[in-house]
Amino acid sequence: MENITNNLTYLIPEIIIIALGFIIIGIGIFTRIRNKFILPFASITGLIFTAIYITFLDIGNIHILSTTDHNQMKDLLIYGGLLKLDSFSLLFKFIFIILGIFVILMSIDYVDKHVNHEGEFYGLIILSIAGMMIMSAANELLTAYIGLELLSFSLYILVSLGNDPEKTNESSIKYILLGGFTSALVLYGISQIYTELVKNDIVNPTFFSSIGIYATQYEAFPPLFVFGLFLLITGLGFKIAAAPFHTWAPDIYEGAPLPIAGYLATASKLAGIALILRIFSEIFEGSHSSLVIIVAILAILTMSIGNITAIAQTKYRRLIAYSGISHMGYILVGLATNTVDSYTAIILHSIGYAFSGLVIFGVLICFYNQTNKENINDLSGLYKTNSFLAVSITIALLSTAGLPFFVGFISKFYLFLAAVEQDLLWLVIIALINSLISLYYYLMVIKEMYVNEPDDVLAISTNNIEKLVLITSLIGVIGLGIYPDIIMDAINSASISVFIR
Amino acid sequence: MYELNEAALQAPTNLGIVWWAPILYIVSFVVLGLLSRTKIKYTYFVPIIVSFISIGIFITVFSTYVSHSWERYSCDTIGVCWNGIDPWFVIGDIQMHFGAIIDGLTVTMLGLITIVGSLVIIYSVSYMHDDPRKTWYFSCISFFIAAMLFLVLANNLLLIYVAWELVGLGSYLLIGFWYGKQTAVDAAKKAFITTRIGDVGLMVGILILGTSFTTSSGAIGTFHIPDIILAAQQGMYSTSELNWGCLLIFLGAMGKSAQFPLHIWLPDAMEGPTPVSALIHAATMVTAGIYLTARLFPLYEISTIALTVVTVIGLITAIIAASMALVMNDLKKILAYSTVSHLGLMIFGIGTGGYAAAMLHLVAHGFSKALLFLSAGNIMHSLHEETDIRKMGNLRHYMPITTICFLIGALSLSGIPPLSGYFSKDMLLHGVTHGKIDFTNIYFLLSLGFIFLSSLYMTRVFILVFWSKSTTEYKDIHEAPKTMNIPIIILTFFSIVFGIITCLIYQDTLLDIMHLVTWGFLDTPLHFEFDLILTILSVGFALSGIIAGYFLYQENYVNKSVFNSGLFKSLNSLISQKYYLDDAYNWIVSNVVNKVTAIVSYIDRAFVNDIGINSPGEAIRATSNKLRYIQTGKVYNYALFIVLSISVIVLIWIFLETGKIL
Amino acid sequence: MDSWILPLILIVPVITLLAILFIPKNNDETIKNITIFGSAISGILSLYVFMAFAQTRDPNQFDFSMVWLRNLSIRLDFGVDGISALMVLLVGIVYLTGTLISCKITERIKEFFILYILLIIGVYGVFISQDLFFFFFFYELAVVPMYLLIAVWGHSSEFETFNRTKEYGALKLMLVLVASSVLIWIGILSTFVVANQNSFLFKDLIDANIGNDFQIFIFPFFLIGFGVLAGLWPFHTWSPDGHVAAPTSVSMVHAGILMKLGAYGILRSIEFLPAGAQEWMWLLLILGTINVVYGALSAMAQKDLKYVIGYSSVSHMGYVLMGLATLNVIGVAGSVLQMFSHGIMTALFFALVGVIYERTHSRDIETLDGLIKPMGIAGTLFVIAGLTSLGLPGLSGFVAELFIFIGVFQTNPLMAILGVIGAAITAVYILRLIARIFFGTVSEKWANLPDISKFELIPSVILAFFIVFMGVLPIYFIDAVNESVKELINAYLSNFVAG
Repeated sequence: MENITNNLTYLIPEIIIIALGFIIIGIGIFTRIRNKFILPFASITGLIFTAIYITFLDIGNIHILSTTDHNQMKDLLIYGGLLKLDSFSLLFKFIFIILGIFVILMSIDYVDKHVNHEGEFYGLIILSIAGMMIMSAANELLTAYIGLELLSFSLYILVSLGNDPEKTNESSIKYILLGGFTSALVLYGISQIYTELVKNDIVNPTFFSSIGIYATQYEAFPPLFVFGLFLLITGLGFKIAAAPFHTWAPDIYEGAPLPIAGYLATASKLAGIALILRIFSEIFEGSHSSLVIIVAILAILTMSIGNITAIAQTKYRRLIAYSGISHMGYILVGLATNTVDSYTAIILHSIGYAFSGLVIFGVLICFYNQTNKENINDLSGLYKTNSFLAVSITIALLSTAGLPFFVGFISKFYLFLAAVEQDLLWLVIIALINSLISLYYYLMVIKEMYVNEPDDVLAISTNNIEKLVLITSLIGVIGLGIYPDIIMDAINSASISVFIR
Repeated sequence: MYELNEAALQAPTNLGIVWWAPILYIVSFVVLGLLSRTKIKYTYFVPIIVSFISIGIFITVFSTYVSHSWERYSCDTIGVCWNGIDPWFVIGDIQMHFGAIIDGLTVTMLGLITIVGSLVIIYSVSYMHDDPRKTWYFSCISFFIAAMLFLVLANNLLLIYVAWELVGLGSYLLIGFWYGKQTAVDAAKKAFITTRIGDVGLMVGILILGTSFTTSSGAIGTFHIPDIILAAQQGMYSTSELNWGCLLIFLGAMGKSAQFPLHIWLPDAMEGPTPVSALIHAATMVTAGIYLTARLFPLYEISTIALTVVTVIGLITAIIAASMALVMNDLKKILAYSTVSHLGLMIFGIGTGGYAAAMLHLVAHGFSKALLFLSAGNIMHSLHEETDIRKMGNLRHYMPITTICFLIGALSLSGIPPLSGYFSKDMLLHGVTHGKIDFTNIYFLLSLGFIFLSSLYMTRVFILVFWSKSTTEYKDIHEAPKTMNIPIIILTFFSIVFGIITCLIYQDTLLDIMHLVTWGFLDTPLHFEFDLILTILSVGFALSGIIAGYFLYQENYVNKSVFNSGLFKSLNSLISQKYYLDDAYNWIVSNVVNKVTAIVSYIDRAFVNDIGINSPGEAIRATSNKLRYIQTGKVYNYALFIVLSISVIVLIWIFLETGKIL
Repeated sequence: MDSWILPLILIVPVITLLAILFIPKNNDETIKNITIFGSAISGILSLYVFMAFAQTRDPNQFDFSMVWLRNLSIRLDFGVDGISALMVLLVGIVYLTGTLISCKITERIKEFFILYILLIIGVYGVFISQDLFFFFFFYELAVVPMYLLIAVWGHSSEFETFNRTKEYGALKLMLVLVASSVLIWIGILSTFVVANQNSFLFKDLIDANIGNDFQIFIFPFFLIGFGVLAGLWPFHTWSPDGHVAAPTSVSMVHAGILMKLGAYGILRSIEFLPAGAQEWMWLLLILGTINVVYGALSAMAQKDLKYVIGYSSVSHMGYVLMGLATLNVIGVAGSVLQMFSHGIMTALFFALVGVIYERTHSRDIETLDGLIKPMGIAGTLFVIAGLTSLGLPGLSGFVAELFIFIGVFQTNPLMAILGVIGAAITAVYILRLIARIFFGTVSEKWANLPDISKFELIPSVILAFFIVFMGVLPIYFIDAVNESVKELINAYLSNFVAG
């Protein structure tokens, strides 16, 4: 009991956020608010407060911007090691909250136009943030699963919140079915691992660390364990939409409310990445070359399918979905590398990816709010109708294509360098060819916006909130591209803390 | 290795003044070039003054040179070299020298260029009087003369190449001076491109000679002519290097000096203003090839193959061109072909070892041919640019001075004593007969034929233009103004006395000036030696040519129908079609060059680009269209897909672990 | 002691760019003036850098260094030697002249200048970086704006046999260049890992003494990767199409500078991969020779004025590559000089082609004739450029090509002869071109075109001045380049003396 109360202090962020979520939902249900700004700003204030709290949270030499030398870094296990507080989790929590804030900001107008039940909308976003925070802090399979489910369930509902049924219903049903299916697989996989570890009487068989211990002890995994492992991978791969578990993503993005699609594309993927990093840093203990090869194969599949399929797309939502898939491929390259450097690179890359994703979706939301058009060639002449949007999305696309001046270049460089250091040159070559392919469809979008003439010349306006969101994330994209060193401390300590045993 | 520089150190320093001649011409080029778009009159005084100064410079250099006997007959030095001792700059293992050679050759060329140059400039003043762009004209002339002076001064093959290209540019600009005329534009283009083809050979030859040996100072190769000659003398070149070097450089000379089969550009070049034809395409630029060959004669002397080629090419050119001059009807074209054939004679002379004779003939021909061209200029000036000799005749009554001058020039070129042409030609023949070369007799007979032909066509021109009945009525025809006649008279004077002075009065000084370094492999006549039989033969052939011409064209003894029948007819058509050379070149250009380029660009388009660059993109796009069908949109397909892929992964795993599937 | 000159060279365009960024769209004049002003300052700075270097020839006088990314120990490290100083001068000249030329542009001039300056920042950065990462960073940066510059402001061209839209040209240019940079990615990443100096600085990589087998394996990646940007056959087709589609000033910058980036990259990679270079240069020599002859032949077949110039740059870059392939002082010096000379010359060419197109709205050689009558100055300048490109002495091209011929002749006489023949072919098509479009009788529809205007005259004269200056006083440039090239080659040779 004592223990619990002590540990509660460490859970203050999660507690605040969960409370906030319920409050917002409550307000949304029980009051009739005409003003579209109240709820989002209420939730944002809460989130910002939490973010600040996390920023200045300093638990015994664990700090989000830890500049102390990394040898003294240690982590803090709470609740008997179910949760783990280290700069990794802190960083990710911070990122999730920021992403949440941005998504909420950019969805205000959209919610006003296309969504019923705005209370549920914002509230569930906040709850899902809590789920992600648990995922990033989890030190044990079941806790991770709980976080995962909390996230997924909020998303299931969020996806279905749009107000034109024929689109949202289909996609939400799909998402629920497939999500449920995979989470069942995950659960089954966990049970397999559990049994295997128990058989070899390892203490706390569900802890990540014990998986690590097992992996170090046994060179050749028995089939059951491997089977379980793959089921786990399937679940996580489904979450980050890695091929061949990606098939849901384009359809869901297409059907879901646009901000939620953005949320899926950025925040929830990052959560999945966080969990994957935690687990794989343990599984890769010891030398398991074949496992590396499997991950590499997944990476190649993800990159190639994502990029090549994207070329043929005619709807921008699907295009973005596929480009997101291909990016998960790059991240899997880093995963196959599995060194501190590669993890740093992965975190940097996913942050950059998240920022540019925010920009892209922000622009598309503005565009969609005012035109209700969904095809790529509807973007034609966007530069003439609203140059700010066009320039922003161009920068974001070029950054995701990995061209310099933008974070995409340096992060990709870092990622591939780390991979080459581990003799994965062949994998890097494939990745590079893929990024070349990706440039093609980005250029097609850019061409639509700049070269072609708009079909109808109604000027598209942007309100200040949207400008704020876009500009701040653009500053992220460009600033990190010009001088990434500013956040490297945080990322370093995060990636190192993952490897602290 | 550097004895010549010992000589250079004791050389009189006031020879350095020679640099001012080209520099002043450059100045005049720049000044007039800048003024060329303004309306200022009388700009032509700048080049006139410059030309007088340059003549003064020539006289100074000449007298200084003559008064120094220390290097005459010396076989280990080539004249005096300025700044030739220290390289101008060294890059990598290549030394670049920048300096002047001053020896008989240079001094001779200096004299020819400065004198003819200034005369032509004076002549042009009234010839180009009405042309709105005459400032630009004089600017180009100055540029050309400057480049030509650099060419004869340079002590370094690369500098020679530089000047070589620049005189080409000058010729290009002046031939195409009336750019409104399509023929002029084409002629300029043709001249530049044809000589450029020769220059490929020149460049490669220079590279061979320049980079094939190591000098004493350790540099691989220098382009310093004395070094190269000494290297050749000391056998630093392999035979093949020397042969190829000489042959390729001679290719360049062929281009510039219009040797068969690269002579085609010279007749067309007559599209330019007539003074230009006199200066560039008779007296100076076209002799650059002869100058270069004479300059490098010690190399040719060693490489017998090259020497034979030079001889044969020269002879062929001489005779073919003479035959063409016989049937042309355009006054300037006839003179052009006569120039080609005399250039061929000079080359032939060098080939037979008589380089001194060749240089003598170069000068003599320079004066006489410039004279002829300027007289032709007079005629065209008063006949309103009419050049067809069949439309002329009987001009002796209208322009007596021109007639006399033209006659003297023609006789001199036909080799009638005591005109200068006689001496040089006999000296050449002397070289042929006494030189230690094979086939002397054949060469000798052919050159006699050449003499006959040249006097024949000269007679024809003279009779048709000045003597025979005029077929057309002339309007307001008059003798040319003084400013045009004075230069002609001066040239006439030179073509009369030059031979006498050089070969009779001052022969042991002046001819020695044209005396080059040799190692006596061929004994070559350095003096004019009177040889009765030789004289009788050559003069006899010349006179017979004249007489034949008289009866053919004046008295019409043989009626013309003979020429339109049988062998004569075909021969006549062959010659008057210029031996179908131009047609051959045109055929090559249209059917080979253009085809090849078309094919290359098609390959570039169709294969390199469309298949090489585009097709991968197409392939990827096609794949993408296939891959879309994974996305069925059916939930159960997706679930199935997931399960299948899991099982596949497990299979892969098993394969990786155990090396076999199940 | 860091010198701030080189950072300044980057900062000035950045400031110019920001200034333009915050000027509202509609007042074009202010934007033009600011850009001209900024480019003038950059030009003066570049001139200063080159002249200062030519004075002292001290390769370290402009060094500047700061840490950029600690994790990878990437440093922002600037410095120039004779070669890069000359290139910086080239960039300065073309930047200024291109800016002046593009004052004609009427639509979206603000955006145009922003992208244009971005491009310039990229090329400046490449030439002053002493750090492989930033070399590549700026290299990529220079490629980024090309697509929009061409696709938005360019011209499509139709022919009877085929037609090229500007989008196609832009897309091909972009994709081919990025594809080539994939090879450079691979090269840089694996070189860094193998060199194991935990540093991207050129000098550290040189000191690393990378193993021969790896050098021989990796050098082709650099060779082809950079070669593509230098228009290496058979990857050259992006360049004519790109040049033709691009607006005038972009063609100037692209043919004038960007293609040099490739050759410069090969030059730098020789430094730290000597064994690889020694192993592979035969390939570069052969391909370069093919470039020369093939480019000249295809140029001869073109009907479109701009395509002729485009292919002629392919041909001339061939000389640069040949010179590099010799790996001896005179050859490499020649190719460096050729980079500069060709940069200026082709910039002048494209500027004048722009002038002609502006007036006649036709680039078809068949329809143009006698243009020198109405446009005397433009014609004269064009003739100067043409004579330069056929390597006439007294103009900038000759010395460069002469050195290249000598250098190549020492290594492989046959290729040298082919090169000389290529020069002759160049003479043929250039003279044909000049005779066709400038001389002869002018048809009445061109009879009273206006001659070159002020904003076109000034840049053209600047370029022509440098052509003549380098032609008449080559020794000034030779001395500046000679030392650095000698050092480079000696360093290269020392690897084999030691090993």
